[in-house]
Amino acid sequence: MSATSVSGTTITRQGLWSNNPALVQLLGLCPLLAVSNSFATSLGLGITTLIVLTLSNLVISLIRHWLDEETRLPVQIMVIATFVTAADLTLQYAFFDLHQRIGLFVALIVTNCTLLGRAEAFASRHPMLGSVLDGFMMGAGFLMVLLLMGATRELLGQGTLFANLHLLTGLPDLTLHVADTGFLLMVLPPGAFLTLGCLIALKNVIDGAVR
Amino acid sequence: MKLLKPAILALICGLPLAVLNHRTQGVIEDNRSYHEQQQLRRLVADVTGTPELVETETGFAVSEGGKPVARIARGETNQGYNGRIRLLVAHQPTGEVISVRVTQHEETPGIGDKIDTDISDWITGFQGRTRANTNWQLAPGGDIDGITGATITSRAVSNAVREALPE
Repeated sequence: MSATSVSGTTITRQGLWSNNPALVQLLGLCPLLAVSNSFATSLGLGITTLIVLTLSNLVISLIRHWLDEETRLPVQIMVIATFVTAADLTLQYAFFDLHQRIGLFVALIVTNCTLLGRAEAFASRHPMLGSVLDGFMMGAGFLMVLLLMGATRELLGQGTLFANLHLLTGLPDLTLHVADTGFLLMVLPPGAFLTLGCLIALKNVIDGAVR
Repeated sequence: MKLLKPAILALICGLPLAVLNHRTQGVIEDNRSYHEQQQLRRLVADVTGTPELVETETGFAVSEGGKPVARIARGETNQGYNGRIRLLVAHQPTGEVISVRVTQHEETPGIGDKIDTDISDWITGFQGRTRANTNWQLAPGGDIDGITGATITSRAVSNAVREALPE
């Protein structure tokens, strides 16, 4: 691959907007749809994904010349799985309460196609610095959408914002009670699809207006 | 020979994980038992001010000044939506529920996790129930109001609480 000189700006713009993993590539929808029913869980899983994605991109980029063509995919998955397991153990070690809530989805980060997608499409073809930036920006793009969905669904579905955030972060209780009841559908699985659909539509409208 | 490099890498990946697992295991176990102890302490605070706890085969016997005041029974079910649910049920010697706490679950965040007292007070609805005075089916048809959107979780917890109570 000759694409060794992708500029930082391009990588950043792609990760956050034009090739956003959640809004454009539509990858990693399982955790995205499942966890985004509250801001707190979205934040927890989003940050974990971002860290794992950045680190796995780093390592895969470092070993990219050493790998054989035929075995590179299982090896990439193995690297990703290693970081996910490490993240899982670290969460149980340092943030047990958070792990009680999102533990199931942490293990599922391995199967988040965004990670293997970036490993294969970017990190295995580009030098280290660019790959780290790509992992970070793709992770940030994913986190951004996750937070937006989490906030929207929690607000509409439960009438609160930032509920239980203090359980995860140790911050004081920041819960905003906007309404007493919510539109429950938004917290249930259909709400996830509706919210994601609206966000994708919104992005396309903005893109259309800019063009 | 194609598999040599993946095998080497598997070792390189596995070793630090083994070390990490070994190093964190103790603290993770501590975290888990601290979590349970905290639940237990809150559970007991609902019963009495200065309890004496004696671990028994099925849970704990709670006494105050030598007099038995309550029992804490362990409950467990894998009929939940996801994974095992463990809970502790404090009940009067007569079998009347004082309080219930979930100590471990992997139910859906935002929906099934309302069984956790940190998130909702749903589980306080079991207070005062006995095996005999309650139809443990979910409403309608039974006496237990399920959590909206989490019927399976509610049914599993309801059954587990009933199972934990004495006949």
